[in-house]
Amino acid sequence: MRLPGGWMASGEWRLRTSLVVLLVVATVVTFGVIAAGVLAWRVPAALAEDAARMRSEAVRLAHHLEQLLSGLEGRLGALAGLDAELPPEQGRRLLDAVVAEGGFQAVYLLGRDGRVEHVALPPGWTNAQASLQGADLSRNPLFSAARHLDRRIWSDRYLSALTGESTVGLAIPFADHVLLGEVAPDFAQYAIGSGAEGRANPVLVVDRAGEYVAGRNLAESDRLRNWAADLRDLPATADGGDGAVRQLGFAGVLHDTGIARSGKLDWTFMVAVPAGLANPQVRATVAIVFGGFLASMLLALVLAPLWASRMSSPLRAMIAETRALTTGKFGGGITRGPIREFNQLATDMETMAEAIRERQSELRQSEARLRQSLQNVRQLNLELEERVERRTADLAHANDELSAAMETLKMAQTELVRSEKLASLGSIVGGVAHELNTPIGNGVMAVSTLHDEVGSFRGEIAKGLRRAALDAFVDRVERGSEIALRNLKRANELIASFKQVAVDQTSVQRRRFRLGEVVDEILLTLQPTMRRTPYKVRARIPAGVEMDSYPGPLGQVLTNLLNNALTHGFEGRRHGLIEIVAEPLGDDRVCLTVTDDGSGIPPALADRVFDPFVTSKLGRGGSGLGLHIVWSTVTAVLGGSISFTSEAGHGTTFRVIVPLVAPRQPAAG
Amino acid sequence: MVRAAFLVLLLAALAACSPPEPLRVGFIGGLSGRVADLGEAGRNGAQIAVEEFNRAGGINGLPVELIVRDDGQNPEKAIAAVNDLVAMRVAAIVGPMTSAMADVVLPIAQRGGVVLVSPTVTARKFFGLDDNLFLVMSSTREEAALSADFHFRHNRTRRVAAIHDLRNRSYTESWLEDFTVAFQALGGNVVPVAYESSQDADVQGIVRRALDSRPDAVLLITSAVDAARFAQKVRAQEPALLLFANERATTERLIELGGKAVEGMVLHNYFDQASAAEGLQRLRRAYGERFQREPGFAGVAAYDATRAVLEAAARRSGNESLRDALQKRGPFAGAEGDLTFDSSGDSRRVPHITVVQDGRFVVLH
Repeated sequence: MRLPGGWMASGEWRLRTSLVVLLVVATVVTFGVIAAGVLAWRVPAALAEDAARMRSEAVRLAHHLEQLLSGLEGRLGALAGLDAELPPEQGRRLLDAVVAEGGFQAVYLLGRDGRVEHVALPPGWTNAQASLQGADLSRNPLFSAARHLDRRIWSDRYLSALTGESTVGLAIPFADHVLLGEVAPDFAQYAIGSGAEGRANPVLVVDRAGEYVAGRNLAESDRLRNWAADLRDLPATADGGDGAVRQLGFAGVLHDTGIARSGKLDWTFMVAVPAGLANPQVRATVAIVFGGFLASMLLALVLAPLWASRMSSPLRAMIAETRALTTGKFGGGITRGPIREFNQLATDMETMAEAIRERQSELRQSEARLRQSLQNVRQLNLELEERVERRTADLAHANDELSAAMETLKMAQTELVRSEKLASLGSIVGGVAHELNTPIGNGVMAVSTLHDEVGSFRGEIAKGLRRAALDAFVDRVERGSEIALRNLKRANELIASFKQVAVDQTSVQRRRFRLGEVVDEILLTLQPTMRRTPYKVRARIPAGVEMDSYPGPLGQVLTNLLNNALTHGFEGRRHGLIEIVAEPLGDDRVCLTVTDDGSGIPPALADRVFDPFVTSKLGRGGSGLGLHIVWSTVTAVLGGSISFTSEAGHGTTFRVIVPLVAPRQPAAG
Repeated sequence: MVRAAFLVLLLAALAACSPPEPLRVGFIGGLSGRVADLGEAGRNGAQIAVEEFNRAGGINGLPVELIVRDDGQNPEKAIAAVNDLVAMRVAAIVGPMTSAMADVVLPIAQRGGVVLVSPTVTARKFFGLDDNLFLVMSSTREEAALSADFHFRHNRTRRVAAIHDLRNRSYTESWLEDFTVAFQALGGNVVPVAYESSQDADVQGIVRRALDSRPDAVLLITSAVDAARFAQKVRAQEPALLLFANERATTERLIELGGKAVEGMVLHNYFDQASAAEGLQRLRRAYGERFQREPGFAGVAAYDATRAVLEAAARRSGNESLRDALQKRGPFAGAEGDLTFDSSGDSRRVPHITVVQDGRFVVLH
């Protein structure tokens, strides 16, 4: 299997490895699916829970503030109610008591003109008491509004006459007076402090202008900035009711913010918890899930090998024992384990082992038998070898004898050939002598007669020469010289022929030539003769047959063969055709065939036709040397061979096979 | 290696060709602590100015960002705040709101090359210097001289009891000195009455001390709250005695806490509340809607300062620094009138003489 990056994964895995992988993957996938499910369900739920919690918190804070304010209002209201009836001195004491209770940092009793008739302060403000007494607060907006509207009014922009700082104020008009209560400046912080304890959530209270009033767990930038834009268009539920939830940024992080408004001071309370992944609950859940995921994976990684080992160990034992089987150790059983399939396999393995063992013993027996027969065969083999040796020795002996015989025969053949040659030569010499004898004898006789004639003529001359005797003498001389001349000419011719036979091989000329050309030359020389005859000669010589040989002798051969055909083959025939065909044989030889459709060579002569002085025209002009000369030239000079086929009455074919390059003749010594 | 270098070059080129960053303007003031109302008003005024500017299209089509930092009237906090703003590479800082903080913040801003445009710093020592501090209001000397002159000539005052607050002494003493010099030069006499401002201050005692010197007028160099108290007490004894105070007292608090006692009090105001200037009325409306208050001098001055910064930033060309632009490319439209900075970065805008009439600040012409 080809993996990216050029890695080759082999198709095989160890069982343990694949079990481990299986277990780990199963665990991981299972946990992954569960984790995804849990997160998908839990995270939104947690976020929604937190948002709802924030909302209820905000509502609670707003409610708490309202309660505090209501409490204060109640106290001051009660005071206002009482003051109307009580004498001033008691009224003042009640004012002091109210301030002493806490909650208000100052309470003023203002007359109709806004002058401070009495101011109740916490202990320690002696100078302030003096300076505020009789002060003119007519321009105080809260006083003016209360006087004008003749009802209780809360203000969160109330400027304290005592401290000069902005704080929460309450004005309650009654009869001709106005009770003005200044709430302690840290009142707001106190309100949210007592309400929302313990948590690290950002808590923020802003006034109607969106400016910071109080808060906890806030970044400075959040304190300093204006929140009006963020709180625009809040749903009606924000005012009292169930509050609202919005996503706002605290310290740069999005928070799910519960928002509620307090009607009395028009303050907006915000309690926030980080949204999304920044939410601690979400984080915890994710962390738990991931922790569990990792733990399960680790556990899987730890347990899986153990379990895999346990599963695969009986298999390993089985493998070991099977291996033992392969090496021939039978007899040991295979251990069983907890897995049924492996046990089944083990049983089958044992059965197989038994079967193998039986087979093995059978094999051993047949092996023994085989060995025995092998032994026999070897024995026979040895005997055979001995016999063969003996036969060979005999044969060698016989061979030696045969070789000796061959040698003897060869020598005999050589002798025979030599004696044949000698005989032949002897016959040639005999023939030559015989042949020459006649003309030369005749010649001698004629000249001798002439010599006698001359002697007798002389005698005649002495007696007196008569014309008749002179004429008779001249006639006899003429006749006699004719006879001598004719016979000497004949002897000359014979000698020329004989010369041909004893071919002087060293004086023959060798050159390169084209066979076709030589054949054409020969045919040309024969043309005059052929014209006078009704016979035809046809030559078919391929153009490129080049020979390095003796053209003269070759031509002689061809001439003799042609002559033979003309004189012997076509004798008594009215038409005849001689065909000369040359056929290259391989690279180095050529086969020249001279075929005539004449009378053929008589079977009685066939064996001896190449011998000298064998002729069918003995005494009628044939010397009987023609074919012998041919044979001798072909074999000795041209280095080839000659054969013939003939059918009486149909024709003869002479086949001359000569090498293209004639063998070099050693110089005649 | 070559590829890395090429990438770096490409990124640099992209960065160079990237759209310009939006302009950042910082604000620094006391948003917690003693003079938080000053800081708050300053921040609010700056905010209104920025929002107005952004609604009109901002700079290069990008909105301007206002980054607010609190100095809490505390030197350490102030140093941290200004360092923070300098690190964020703000174009300019509107603030600080008090001279004490300016002492601390100016060196850092100077080193960081950031311009400070203070709406309300008036201490003499900051004027006439070629530095990174631009001042919107005139110095204490000018204000005090104006006051001395007015009261000497107009009201024939010859003897003045000057109640001054030791808690903000660097400012109050500077004012007192300037006034004394000017008044004495004219031929008048100043009786200083020092006190330490606290919530439980012995107002009675202080007033008695001041009145013991039989003054023609009582000068209050105090916060508005204290001025209201003093006014109440003085009026209780001397219903017709002239009261006047410096610019610091000119806030709604004075009227709220002073009631009828502050009627007729003479003050200085940075702006004319009754002015028909469209910018001022628009500002008062926007401020009132947003913050349910009057902007007061701090709000208006901060508004003017911020507008000047933004205008200068919009008007500068090429690589001109904001400092040069503020000095050269004025006048800048303020809420009531124009603002021009001279070569020392001073605007020398003279405050109006104002009197409290029927609970309002009315400019005397």
